[in-house]
Amino acid sequence: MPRLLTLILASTLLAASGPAEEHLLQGARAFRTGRYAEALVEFKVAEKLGAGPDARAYAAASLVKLNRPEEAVELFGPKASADPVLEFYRALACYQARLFTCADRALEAAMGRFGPRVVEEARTIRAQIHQTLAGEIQPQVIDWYLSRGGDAVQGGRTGLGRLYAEEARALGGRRKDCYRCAEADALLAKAKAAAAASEARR
Amino acid sequence: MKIMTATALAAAALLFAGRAWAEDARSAARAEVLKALESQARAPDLRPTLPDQASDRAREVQSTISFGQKGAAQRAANQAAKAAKNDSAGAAVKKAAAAAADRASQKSQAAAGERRAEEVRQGVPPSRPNRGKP
Repeated sequence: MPRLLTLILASTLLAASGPAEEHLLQGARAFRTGRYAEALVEFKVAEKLGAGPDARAYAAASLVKLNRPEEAVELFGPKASADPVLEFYRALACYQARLFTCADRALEAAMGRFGPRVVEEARTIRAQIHQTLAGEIQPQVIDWYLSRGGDAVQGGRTGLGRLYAEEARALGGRRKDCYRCAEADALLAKAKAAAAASEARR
Repeated sequence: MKIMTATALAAAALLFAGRAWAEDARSAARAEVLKALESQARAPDLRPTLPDQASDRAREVQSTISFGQKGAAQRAANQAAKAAKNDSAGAAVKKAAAAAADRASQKSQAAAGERRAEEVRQGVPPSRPNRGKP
């Protein structure tokens, strides 16, 4: 019986500070000092060791800092994060991938929950977005989003394709002629269907 | 029998406490990560612009030239200069390495300048100059 107690005590102590937490802390240290590639690895390892979906979002934030916004957008997924800091990074990923309306929506929704420093950064980004989208959207801009979205869906990156289609739809909708809006809707439906099919296969 | 019951109770208490500790440790780690993320949360240096297929391709090519090949040359030269500074190599080696770094830096800056000029010609806001960054 004492052996059993010792075993339980040992496993309890081990579980109290598990390897996943160690990797999260290592990742935090690396991120804070600007070693984003290292942080990315640590967060991915933490996720594999069971740190949960939060670790995936931390890895996505590292990808944003590594200027890999499309991968970051995919890793964040379509749903808004509960934490405002993560939501800021999700918006940043959208912004860097030129998904302006996606970034603006995310920032707008989280605006009241940011800390004082982050809220200033968010305001700066939103002002830049509004300035970028102030003029009339040219057809070739929408062409670009549709082409990018089509390529993404074709390549199996349905989440990314969906976001590009949404952006094309939102920007097309700003024009009086709703340029290629029907095609954007069709691409959106295609991306959703492909995502559902891939989900069903899992 | 009493010993058995006491042991079982102790084990259950330990397991319960262990779970709570583990949860605390995870929460603390998460808080630490979020603090780190918040400390680095800022708007990007390069402001993205609306894309269009033709100018996008041109910019991509320019960017590869100025920040890809020449950027790599500059980084390599800077590293060589740093290494030469650190070890006990002679003054001539240090001078040569520094000169190489200087030349590569000038070439890279010129290419970046050309790229920004091209961006202005195409009517898109020019990207920021790469001041002293590798």
